[in-house]
Amino acid sequence: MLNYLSDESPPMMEPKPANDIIVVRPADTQQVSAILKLANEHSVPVFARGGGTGLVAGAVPTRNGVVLSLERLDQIVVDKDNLMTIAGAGVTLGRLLEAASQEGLGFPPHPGDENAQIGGLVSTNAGGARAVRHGVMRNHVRAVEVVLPNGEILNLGGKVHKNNVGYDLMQLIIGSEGTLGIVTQATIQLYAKIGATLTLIVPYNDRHAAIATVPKILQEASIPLAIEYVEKDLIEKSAQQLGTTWPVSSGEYYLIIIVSESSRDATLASSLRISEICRQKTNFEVFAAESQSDQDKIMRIRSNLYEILRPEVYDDLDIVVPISNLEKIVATIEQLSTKYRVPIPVYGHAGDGNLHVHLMKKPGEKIDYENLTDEIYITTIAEGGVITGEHGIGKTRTVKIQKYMGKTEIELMKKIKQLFDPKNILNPGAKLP
Amino acid sequence: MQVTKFSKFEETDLAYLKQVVGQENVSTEEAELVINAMDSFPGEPVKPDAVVWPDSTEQISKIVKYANDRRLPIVPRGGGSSLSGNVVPVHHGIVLSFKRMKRILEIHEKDLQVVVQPGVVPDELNERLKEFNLFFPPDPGSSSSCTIGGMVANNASGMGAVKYGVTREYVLKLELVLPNGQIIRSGSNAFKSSTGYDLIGLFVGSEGTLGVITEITLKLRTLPQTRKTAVTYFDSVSDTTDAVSEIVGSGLSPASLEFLDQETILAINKAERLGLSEKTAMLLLEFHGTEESASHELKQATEICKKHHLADIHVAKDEIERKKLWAGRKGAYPSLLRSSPNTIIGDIVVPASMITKMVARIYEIAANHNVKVACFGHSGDGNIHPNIMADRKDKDNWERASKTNDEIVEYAIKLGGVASGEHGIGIEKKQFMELEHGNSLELMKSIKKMLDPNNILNPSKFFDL
Repeated sequence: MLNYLSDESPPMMEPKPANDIIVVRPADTQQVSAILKLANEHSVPVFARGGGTGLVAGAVPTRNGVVLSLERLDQIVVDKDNLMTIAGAGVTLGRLLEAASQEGLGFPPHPGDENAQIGGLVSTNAGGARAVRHGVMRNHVRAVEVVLPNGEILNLGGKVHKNNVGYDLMQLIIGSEGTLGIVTQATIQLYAKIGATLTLIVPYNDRHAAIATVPKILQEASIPLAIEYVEKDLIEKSAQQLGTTWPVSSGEYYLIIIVSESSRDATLASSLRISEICRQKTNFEVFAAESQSDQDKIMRIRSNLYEILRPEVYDDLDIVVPISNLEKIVATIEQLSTKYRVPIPVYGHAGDGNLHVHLMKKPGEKIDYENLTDEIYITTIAEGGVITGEHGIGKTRTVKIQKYMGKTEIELMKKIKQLFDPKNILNPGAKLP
Repeated sequence: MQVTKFSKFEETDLAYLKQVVGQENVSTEEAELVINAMDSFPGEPVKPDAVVWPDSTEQISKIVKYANDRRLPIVPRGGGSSLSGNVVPVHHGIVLSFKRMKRILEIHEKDLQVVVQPGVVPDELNERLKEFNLFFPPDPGSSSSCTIGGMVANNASGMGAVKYGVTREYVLKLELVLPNGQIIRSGSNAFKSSTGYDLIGLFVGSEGTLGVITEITLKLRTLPQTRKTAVTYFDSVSDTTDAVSEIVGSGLSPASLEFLDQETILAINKAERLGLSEKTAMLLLEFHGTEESASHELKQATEICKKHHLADIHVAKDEIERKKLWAGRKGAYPSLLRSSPNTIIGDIVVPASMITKMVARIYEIAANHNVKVACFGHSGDGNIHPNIMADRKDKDNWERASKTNDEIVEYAIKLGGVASGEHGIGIEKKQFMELEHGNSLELMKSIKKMLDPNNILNPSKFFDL
């Protein structure tokens, strides 16, 4: 039962679940519809639950009511001829990748934790490391089946990419974090499997040089599959925890660049070009991992970073800025770390300007969370960015988002919520300011 | 038609408009009203009462608020190149034209972004962006005359959608005037955002029925290093369409995969003297990327075409040849317009695996109704434009042509497709909304009523309230 009351939010930020919770695990869309209809009639809150990998308490049931787990809606069908898959909300990303692979296809966007479920990926509009090339979940969802609070089942979209036949309600559902409807099924675009890849690690002694390289790569070379930014101290700790070593000893700051083209020759050519561009800003050699196992190792070390920090992360901010302003925000965060005397390790998806900013707090220490985050957010907004790029608002960012969203926009959001969910039974307390 | 409760346009209304934008920027001249009575669909023209040329968001806000208070219909109009009656002012009222709002406001080349006023023409934008090695990919056939505002309102796409997607995917920020005159801004300069509901996603493609777009921030792409273009000819339509399905199904990423049938080829050759081979059908393929990847992909696509009895192939040697081929392709619709007094142009989309079935059925349906049809389109997206040749003045012919169009759409929906991939609903596709949407239609109407309770913004488009 405990598993259904919490997700992967930083423990110090996560709100406490309510006391009176029922967990239900419907088998199919009809059951979801019946449950919602009943809950709506009695004004009982319903909290949808997928893989529980969220970071902003989206799935935490903070009011007495129902946790509706979608895990049993786990059917998946691959339509190979049309390069699409129709997956139940409970299908995990891992399973989708496997099913696609069996048909010789892939899903390069790879928007997150492989334990995340389709329903959650769609409802949070998940992003991930591949967004620089493949965008976010929204770019790949062609249709959704969604159940409204009153039990009505809507089928939005179709097995087509172009669809101009009315208001695109599907876009409202995607990213709505379970507050407008519960996604029970999605039709998702598949692609050719990723061909040859090469993973580059570019070491820098100067953080600003590392970050400044990013826009240059995007302007002057073929867009890589991923451009990640990490720092020495943390990445080495991560490797150590996994019982391995970070393959590069020089430099303090790193760009991890995954290059992928349609053929091996093309991948090599692109890698050379990108290395050339990087070498304009660093004197260190570019390290290239060619074998699949070497490349996998690097990404495992990268993916393990959050685990290293988790015990003492007070909050994990998810800011995004236009790439040319990345330097500025990183410099600001450095300054604020000193000003507030809070360690703030930063890493992230530099390719699309998305950084994960970890505010650390040891037991017994104090942290001026409100003012510190305000300063970070104010700078982010001033640089044309947003306070969350992938994790969403959930329940932990509703107060902050109020400050950083226009009044008219908030008004419109509330009106839309009112239209879809007049009794406010779906994930109350989430998403809306 | 719904019962309308719109007010009659009075002298006082004209006086107010003149006061807001200056008297030289309002017109009630017959010639102007006639131009603005239609778009590019051969439907019923309906003259507005006045045409207005604002030059700022504030002016638009004032006008819309006034119109809302006065219950006067407003129709925002871009290039007027829409193909579904999208901008016809069916209840008269005010047409808002963006000819004075054509500025490219800011170019942020490092961030691959540009801020534009709604009246900017995409070809002109892309000309300007060349110097920064950037471009705005959605490329409709009307790119030399349509406007960015219109493209956003219509979620336009075109030749490159198979690789580059549709306009919605490029809109980062929108500024709009809501039907009550309020100005709303949504979005940010960040490429990813998980903040509010996707209001941009709602407004894009809403065909001017939910708000008037006043400023747009677009995401751009870097110009491809290499573009490899080829035309492949086939002796049968089904070979051609089977090749398309296989190319799409193979996971290759063509930048364009355009289909043209013989009728279309003949029309283009006649109008443009392009010298295209007059085979049964052809594909215009293009691959973008590095020299290595584009060549590699073109080679693979050619192999697939060979599997489907490729009759002839011509690879463009240089940029000049490439431009010529594209001019030909873009001239398809104008060329076909010359072939008959009028045409009804469809815009169906079907899943890739259904293309051969769909195209075969189009010819069958046309034959059943004894009308001529030419097919061309963005086969890579499953988006085909059946051009039904017709004559509006011949009532019987027009009826048969319309029936042909209806049956084509119904069949597309049956195959799991949709009635429109690009041209939108406007007036001409309203009849399919029920079939398309079922119970979602009520929700759409509620959204419209919520945002535009007096139904003044482009009324009687999409649906009747």
